[in-house]
Amino acid sequence: MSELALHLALFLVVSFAIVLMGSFYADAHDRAALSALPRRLATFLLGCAVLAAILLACEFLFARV
Amino acid sequence: MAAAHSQIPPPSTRRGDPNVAVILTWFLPGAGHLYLGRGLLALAVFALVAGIYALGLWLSHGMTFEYLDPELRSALAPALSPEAGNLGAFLWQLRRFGFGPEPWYPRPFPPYMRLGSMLTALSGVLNIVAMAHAHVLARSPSVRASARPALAVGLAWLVPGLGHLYQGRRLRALLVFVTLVGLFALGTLLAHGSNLSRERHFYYWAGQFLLGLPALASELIVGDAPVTGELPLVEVGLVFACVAGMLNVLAMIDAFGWEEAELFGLPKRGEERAAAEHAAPPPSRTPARPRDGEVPT
Repeated sequence: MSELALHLALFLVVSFAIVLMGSFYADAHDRAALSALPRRLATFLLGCAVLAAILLACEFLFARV
Repeated sequence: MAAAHSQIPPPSTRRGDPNVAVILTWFLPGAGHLYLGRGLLALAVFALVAGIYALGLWLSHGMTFEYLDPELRSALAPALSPEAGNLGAFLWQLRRFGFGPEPWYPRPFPPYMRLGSMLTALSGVLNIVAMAHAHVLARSPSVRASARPALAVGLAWLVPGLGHLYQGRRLRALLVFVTLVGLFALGTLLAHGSNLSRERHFYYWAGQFLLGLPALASELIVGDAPVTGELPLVEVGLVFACVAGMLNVLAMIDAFGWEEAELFGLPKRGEERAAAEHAAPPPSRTPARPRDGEVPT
């Protein structure tokens, strides 16, 4: 498994844990928490992707080595 | 509305201000209960929480904060440790022992250093449970029933999901346990057990301590394993184990909130939002444009 794929897989694992616990925190009832999980996970991953893109763009534009 | 049926007594009939009770307990275990007129309970809380801290100090010779690297030592540096849950004892330890005698040369740790350090951290978590109890006790007409939310918090810390199991929420208990303990186990594997040492990773250790028994037992059994080679994913492992502990705080708050809502007849988390969504009128449609010759209605 390539380095990037491994890190992406690990990121998905920790993302799932964070979003699941966040969903449980937001909804006291299991059905509501679990039904909202895919949408929350997608939002979280999209937000992280946007953040990563901004960081990469900043690095590309401003970083001096 | 559910809030209208709340069983919380009006402020005039409360035992005292819940926030004052919490702050007093934070500074001195049992002080909040004494303020609420429960002297015997206050004494028991003080004996348990302060006693465990004192035992930990005795075993560790007050050297816990000497785990911090010299460049990290400052007045606020140890505040991100579980001991801060017992603020009075934490501040006393910092003042009395600090980071050891200056100049800061490395000193050998006593034989029961690890256990002592765990006990002072445990005292901090127990005091948080006592604070939760004081907050509910100030508002609850029943002393016996007021223990349930605090018990749920304590169980949720001890084993992830146990607080939910105590409340009869089996599916959630199972999912919380599998997710958090699995994340911690994966992190420990990736870090080759090097995360199980407060001396090596003072701050990450503070996070994973919030996972309770799984973290404590792992450290007591395989803690301080020698590192014999390169660990390519050690940072990932440290973050996973730490995040698992910090996510358990959400589980503890969830368990507390459920029990508090049951006790006082309050709406549970998310119920008000769901009710508002159901009550909202359906989105209005734009009226169709009348055709030629048609009279708009």
